[in-house]
Amino acid sequence: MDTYRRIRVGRGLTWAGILLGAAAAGTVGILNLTIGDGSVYSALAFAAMLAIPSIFAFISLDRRPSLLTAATMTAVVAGVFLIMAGIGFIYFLVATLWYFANGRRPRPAPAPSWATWGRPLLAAAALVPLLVLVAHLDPECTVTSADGTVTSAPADGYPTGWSFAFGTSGSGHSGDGTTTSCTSNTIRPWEALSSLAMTSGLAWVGTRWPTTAELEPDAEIVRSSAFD
Amino acid sequence: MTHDEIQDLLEAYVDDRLDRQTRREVDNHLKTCAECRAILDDVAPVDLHSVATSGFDQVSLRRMARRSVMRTAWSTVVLLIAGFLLMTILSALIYQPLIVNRGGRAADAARASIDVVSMINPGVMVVDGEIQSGLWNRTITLETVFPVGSSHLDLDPVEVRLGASALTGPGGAAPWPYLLDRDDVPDAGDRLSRLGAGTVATVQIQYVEESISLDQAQAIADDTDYDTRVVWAGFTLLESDTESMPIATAGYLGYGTCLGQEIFDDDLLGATSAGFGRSVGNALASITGALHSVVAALENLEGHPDWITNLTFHPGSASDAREAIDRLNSDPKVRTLVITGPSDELALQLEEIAGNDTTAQVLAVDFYNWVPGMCGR
Repeated sequence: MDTYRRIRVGRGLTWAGILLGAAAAGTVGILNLTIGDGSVYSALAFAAMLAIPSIFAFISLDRRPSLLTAATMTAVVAGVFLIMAGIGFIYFLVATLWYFANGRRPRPAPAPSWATWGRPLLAAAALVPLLVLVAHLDPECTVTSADGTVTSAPADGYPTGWSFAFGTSGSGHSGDGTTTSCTSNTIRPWEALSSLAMTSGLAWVGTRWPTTAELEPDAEIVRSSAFD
Repeated sequence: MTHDEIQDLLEAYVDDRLDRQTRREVDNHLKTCAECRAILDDVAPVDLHSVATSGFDQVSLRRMARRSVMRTAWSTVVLLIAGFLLMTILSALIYQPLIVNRGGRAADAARASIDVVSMINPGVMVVDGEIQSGLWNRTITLETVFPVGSSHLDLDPVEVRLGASALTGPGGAAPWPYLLDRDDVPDAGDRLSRLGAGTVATVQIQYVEESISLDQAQAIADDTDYDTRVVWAGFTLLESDTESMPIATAGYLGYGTCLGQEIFDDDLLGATSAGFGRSVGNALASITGALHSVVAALENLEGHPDWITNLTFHPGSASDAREAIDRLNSDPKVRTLVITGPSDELALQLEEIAGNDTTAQVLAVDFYNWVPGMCGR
């Protein structure tokens, strides 16, 4: 395969991973909203958080090839996070696509000198929006009567406060048609908005990633001298 | 862009140094230009300019070597840290649950949980259990049956996590109240100690209601001095207007039996008392509604002193009671009204009202203290 085709295939793989990762993120958001009884806020926060790998990969297409490595690492982190949810394998697939996309490069991707630690750091930072989401325990109970009326009920006894924990939920039905549901940790709007802000911050960091032009501002001159 | 200009850009194309627009133009040209693609193949393999920038004097080479060693060392350290973090996460998500579930601890946890649930909820019977390992904990789901007249809101759930237990005490107001102090229930603490150190178990309870069977209800009736025949036994009706949901109501009438049989025949009489208990936020309204139902039912019964009924009530379901009583109008055997209530106090209230308003015999039943022995409990 000639160099041109290798490069084209690499970019195609990158795009495939971007779209797949974005679709998975959207799916998780929708599932959170429908099956998971999440709020619009939490669904957006989850979807945005899981879209970070695709965001990084998309930004990498614009003269930031070394950012694709960070995107790959972030996809692995997302896959680990979702490993039990069934959808995690998609992120491993995305990471694999990007790994091969990177391998399609005819030369190593030009990277800033601090990329060695910057990339894994960026991938680890992708966990921050998740931790923000579950930073505070907010238990909640609702009672749904037979006629569909929903009222909130006290969640006395559930632990609350600053503690990283994912929610556990339970529900019970009484013979009069009343359903009571409790979850030990709901996602509050402020948590979701904070998470979204963190995600936006990460995306911003991605856009600040040095371009190949910035890495080698005198590349044109240097190349001329090298080939003369 | 000309053919020559494109060729000048091929090096930058390989190294991803072109902006989107320029890259697109180069791409379009390469699609049709075999010569440029051949040049691209020559350009690609070696990054010569990186060598050229550093020069070749000894100092530079030494500096380059030092940087290279430092970079490799840094890479190794960072990779080790990243690997450690990744393994920690994987361990927490995958391996730890596997380890925790080893050695029959899950089964022990389930058994202990069943013991605790049964212990702190007199009359409740656990009929099935299921263990699921989740991301951060293990969940044991228990299927229970509980006394007629009570609802799942009356049950006290159990939560056990990593050596710490959380049990509810009696009278908790929340649907899932947790008491974090295991000393509140010393016996429960003893039983929970069977879980063993390091066990992770979260107990959630799903409640499946069952009422009493006809036979069991008849057995209750036989204990009295009255010659009664139970034509329906159950406790649940929809908390809705029967005019708007007649079919659902009928379904519920036949639903509440211990045996799971659908009983819905012409001589049926039934209303319900479910909801009398510690329903969230509406206990007072429930009692009031129930009393109205009783009065309405008794008014209907006044003209039929020989009826036998097993009459229970539901908040706001006076029309339900009326409908049920209307069905009994064709049954000449009815002569006793059995009122079931969730507490002594309420049962006495019902009995008093019944005594004032009707000539029918009234048997007040305290479900919470009397009925748990039914259904084999």
